[in-house]
Amino acid sequence: MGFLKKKTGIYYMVNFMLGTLLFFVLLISINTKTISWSDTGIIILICINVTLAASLNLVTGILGQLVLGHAGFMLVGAYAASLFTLHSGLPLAIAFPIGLLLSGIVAAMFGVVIGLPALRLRGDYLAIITLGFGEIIRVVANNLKITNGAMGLSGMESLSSRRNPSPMFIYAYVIAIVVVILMFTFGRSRHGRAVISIREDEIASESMGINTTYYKLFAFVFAAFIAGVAGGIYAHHYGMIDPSKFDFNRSVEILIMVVLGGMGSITGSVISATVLTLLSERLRDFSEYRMILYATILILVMLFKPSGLLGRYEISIPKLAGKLYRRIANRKPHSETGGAE
Amino acid sequence: MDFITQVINGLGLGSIYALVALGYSMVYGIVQLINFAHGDIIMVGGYSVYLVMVIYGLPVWVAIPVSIIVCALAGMLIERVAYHRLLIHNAARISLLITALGVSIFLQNLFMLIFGSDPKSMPTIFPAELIKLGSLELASSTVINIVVSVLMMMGLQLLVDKSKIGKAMQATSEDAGAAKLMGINTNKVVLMTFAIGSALAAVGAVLYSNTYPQIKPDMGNLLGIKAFIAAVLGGIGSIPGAMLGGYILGVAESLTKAYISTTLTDAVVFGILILMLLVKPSGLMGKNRKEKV
Amino acid sequence: MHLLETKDLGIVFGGLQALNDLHLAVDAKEIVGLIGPNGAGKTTVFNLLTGVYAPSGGAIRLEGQSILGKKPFQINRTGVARTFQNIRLFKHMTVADNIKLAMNQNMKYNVVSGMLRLPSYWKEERAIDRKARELLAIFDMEDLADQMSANLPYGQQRKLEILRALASKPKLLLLDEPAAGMNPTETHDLMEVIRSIRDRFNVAILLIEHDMSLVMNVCERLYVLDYGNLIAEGTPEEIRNNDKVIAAYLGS
Repeated sequence: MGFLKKKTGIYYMVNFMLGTLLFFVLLISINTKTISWSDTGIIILICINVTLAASLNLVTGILGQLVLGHAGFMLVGAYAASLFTLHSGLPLAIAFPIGLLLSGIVAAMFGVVIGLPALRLRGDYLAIITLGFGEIIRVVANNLKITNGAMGLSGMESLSSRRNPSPMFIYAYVIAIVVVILMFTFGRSRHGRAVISIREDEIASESMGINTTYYKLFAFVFAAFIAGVAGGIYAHHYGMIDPSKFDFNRSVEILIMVVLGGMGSITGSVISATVLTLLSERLRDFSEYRMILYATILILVMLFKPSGLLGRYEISIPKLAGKLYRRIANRKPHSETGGAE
Repeated sequence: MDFITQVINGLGLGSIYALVALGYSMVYGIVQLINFAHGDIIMVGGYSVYLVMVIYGLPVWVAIPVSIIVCALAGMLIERVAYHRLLIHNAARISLLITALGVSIFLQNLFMLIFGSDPKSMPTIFPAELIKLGSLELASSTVINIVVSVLMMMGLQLLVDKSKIGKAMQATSEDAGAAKLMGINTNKVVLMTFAIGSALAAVGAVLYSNTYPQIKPDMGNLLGIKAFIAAVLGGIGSIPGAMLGGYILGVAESLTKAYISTTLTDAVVFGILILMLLVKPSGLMGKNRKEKV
Repeated sequence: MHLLETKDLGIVFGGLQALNDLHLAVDAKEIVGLIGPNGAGKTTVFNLLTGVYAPSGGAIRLEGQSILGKKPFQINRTGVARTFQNIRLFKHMTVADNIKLAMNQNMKYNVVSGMLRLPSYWKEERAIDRKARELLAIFDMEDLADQMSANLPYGQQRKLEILRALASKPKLLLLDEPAAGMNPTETHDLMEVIRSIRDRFNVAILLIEHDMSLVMNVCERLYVLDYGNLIAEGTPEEIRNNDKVIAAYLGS
């Protein structure tokens, strides 16, 4: 019942303030060029991946359904936002946020079309249908005129420039942190409870008055919406996109962030998305080795710690600090009751 | 006449899907796992043939059995290393699926590392000829595909119906717990299922490389998905269903290519799957399984 | 008008008539037992009543309204709640959350209020937190509210499942072998609890049970199934002396 405890409320506030503090530290560092232009790019990529991983965690961790085509929704969002900003004729500062909203909406619509048939069936079908969807959407984008085929789209402008390097970062960071907070509060609302109960036991959930189809579809479409928005930021961050950027490997990368961080742990997703993004920047020239490493990690984690490294545990800085303080102060060992607040 | 040729070409392509679909269907029937790595077994089979014939320069009658044995062993190895622990602990289905996915990514990138990511040209396996049937002109590979797949299906059906291991497989698929109590070594049954399924995939690989003489490390992806769609279409767990699903998919693909658009074939195949799942999720020849409450 | 009434209810599983022409009626605030040997079709009746299975024929009416063709969640909302033979709790949810989940249907705040924690969220969540703890107090389990339900001992898991069913405010409560795995003392306590639940929540209770002491003591009427057929109905006294029932249990 953590939400009624005063202490938990304070923890929330502290965590939120730390997130805000980090934001301003990064913002000032970027504006004063303490953080280089290329490193700013990596930070934006981290924010995009955090957004993607948090959204996939909603479906795979909280709802317990395997989705293998998250990059497909990202692709849809990326193209929707790009086509809008390229052709709307509006100034970028106005067109970009509208484009992002549009990218979410279009991706969500695809989510409904895919999810409606797939979610009526047993879980494994969703995996294969989303895998198929991810591949097909890429093939289609490769062949359509409006998407400019395999050449893809280019010329999307970033809000950032070397003279004013922060706007893209602000968008990416704020969206990432809002998504993380929303995932967290959603998981602790009545709707989140309903979604979790489906993961735990779908038959019992339905017999307790939960419209399981509705909640499954809601979680799936919501995740698609967020993935679409992330795709929109991605497209404008790089300025050019083509279908190969959103292939099966990208879906797997997002999945591994979720699995590794812990299925159901949003903070776990944040940490693993950050670490893995940095890792893949370093290992960029060793793509095959990287994927072999990822695959091995996937298998080993599933074999020996199927809930992921953090499980469903949520990390909270003040809580950790409290533990650390107690340890240093050498007080009586404090027993934790395994709550995840 | 052209239409009939297209249909027969479709059956030839469908034969390959069908052989691969059999493997998906058997494994799913026994352990309820979509073995994502099954598509990559075809790739392993293809590279085995390539290795034996091109690198070592040995004849085709060596390459085929080697490829079958390599695939069967690979299938068993994958079961032991990646799935066994999860299966005996009755792990959550999502863990099994993620593991299967891990195996698939592992195999693809391993082969990319060893052989490079460019496609490799395959040597001639069976000489290509045009076979004339009345006014129909058919590629020999098409005819071989159809004949071999039908023989394989009949053999498999015989194995499942008549042999001891086949009956043990049926029992395990029906109720693994009860089968165990009746003295059936279900571990061995699972292992054999992976071996037989993978061996069939090897045959599929040989036929595939004979029809489309090119292999690459990620060839198992789309082929695997399509074969799985074929298995779902026919009714997962059913041998004739997997064959029927494969043929339907092959013909649909061939006709789409000929009369609608080459680029849209995959979308059409996918559309068929969604339609099927909406109308009859248990597939054309599948049984409707209900979870016990 | 009966609270629950079935007419000619039957279901066929792949050629096997698992249940045949069942006529069953439960009135408000009644405690009725459904007994019979293993495999007689008792749980199948529950699955039909809660919409898990669709019957091959017949009618089911709750307060005169047909519930045929409704999905399990809709049937639960019209006032039928159940427990399961092999406990189906939400294992990785807390004890309190298991109960709150069942209260979801009576809550109103929308997704946005939930995610942004608007006042309606706090108001309703505080209210159901209190209600959940009150319910837990029935079985003296309020101290366990924040435990993961998977960590409860078996007997308490059964009790929690009953509370979860009650939390959805049913008019009819279906209990599938509530005393399974309990020792005689626990079973004895359970009898008291079943009666007090009926009185306190004004529910009718239909229960499947193998423990004859519980059935004979608690139930006001009994239905006896054998091989999918209703072979007897009546008061516990009548059933005790029914030759058909004795034959079905002892095998004739």
